[in-house]
Amino acid sequence: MVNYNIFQLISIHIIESLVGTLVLYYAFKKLYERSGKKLYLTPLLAVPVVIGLFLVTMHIPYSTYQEGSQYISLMLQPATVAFAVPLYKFRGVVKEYAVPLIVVIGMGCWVAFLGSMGLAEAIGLSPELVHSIAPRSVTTPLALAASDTLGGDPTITAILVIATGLLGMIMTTMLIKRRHIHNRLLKGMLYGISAHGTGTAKAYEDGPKTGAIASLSMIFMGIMTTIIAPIVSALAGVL
Amino acid sequence: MKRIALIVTQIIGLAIIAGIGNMITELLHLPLPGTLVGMILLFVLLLTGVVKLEWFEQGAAVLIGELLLFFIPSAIGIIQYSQLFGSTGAMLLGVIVTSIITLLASVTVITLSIMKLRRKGYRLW
Repeated sequence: MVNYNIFQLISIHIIESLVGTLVLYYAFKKLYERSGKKLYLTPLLAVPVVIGLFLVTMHIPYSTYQEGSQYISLMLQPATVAFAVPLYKFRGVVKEYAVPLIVVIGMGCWVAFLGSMGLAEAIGLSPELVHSIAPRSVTTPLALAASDTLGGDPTITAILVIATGLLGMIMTTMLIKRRHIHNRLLKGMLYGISAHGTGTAKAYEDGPKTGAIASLSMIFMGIMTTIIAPIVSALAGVL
Repeated sequence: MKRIALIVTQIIGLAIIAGIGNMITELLHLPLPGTLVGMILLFVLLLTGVVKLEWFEQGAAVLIGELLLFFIPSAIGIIQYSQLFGSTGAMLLGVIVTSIITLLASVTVITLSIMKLRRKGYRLW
């Protein structure tokens, strides 16, 4: 007679999802580097597809997977704080580019914000979806706050933030390759504003300077969105 | 072994600062994520010389190097929203892709124009 108890079952889930995610991550990371950085092998794209398909075909609920994987997500907390280190190391760059970054991102943020809301409304999405989609260009916690201000659904916003991070990262990489963009300032900025945290992570592949500019852009984009959200909300009330 | 212990200690230190950041936002009801406050806090501590760069440098390098890993579980979370795989999902995807293109294009154009102006000798700042 096998002696199962609830604690054993829980700990098995934790170990399986933790080890499984880590092993796949490092395997795809190696593969990605060896393939000459083929975009479809990037761990953030390939690993979720593999694990997602596995969970769906095996009928394993996400909550079961999350029991272990939540500890991986939790690492985002110290990782966000860790950005202070490159920002400090590149404080000269930060000082030099702070004003242009604020100006350019200030303009770009309005375009992204109004553009996505306008388009969502034009193709007839519900007002709730329109408001959930608006703040998705920024890092999750800030987007959730902005979505709340606008009257969007935070869960949908959270998903859209991740989708944006993935798509923004892929599209920016394609743009940089196609257009042969070599300017680190522009590269970092494009990654930081289009794909927040995931874009910043990708920008660090290019080097610490690009990464530092991306994290700075991400922060500005986030702050700008929290400022713009109530203004747009007020404007929408008038119109 | 010694290096691993050092990295782990430094990551714990960063986690403690994240915790302090979370506490600050909660106490002051700031509309900012606590980790962002933690990042600003560490940046100020480094600038003022209260903490030394070497105390966090290696731990931070490891965390930033593996950053994509930490987003993987939430990316898998999309499977919970099967309704987003239908026509609404397709529309949302269309909106996202279009607005990313708009954002990338407008920012690239703005930046390149400013750079061009600078080369011609006009300085906006």
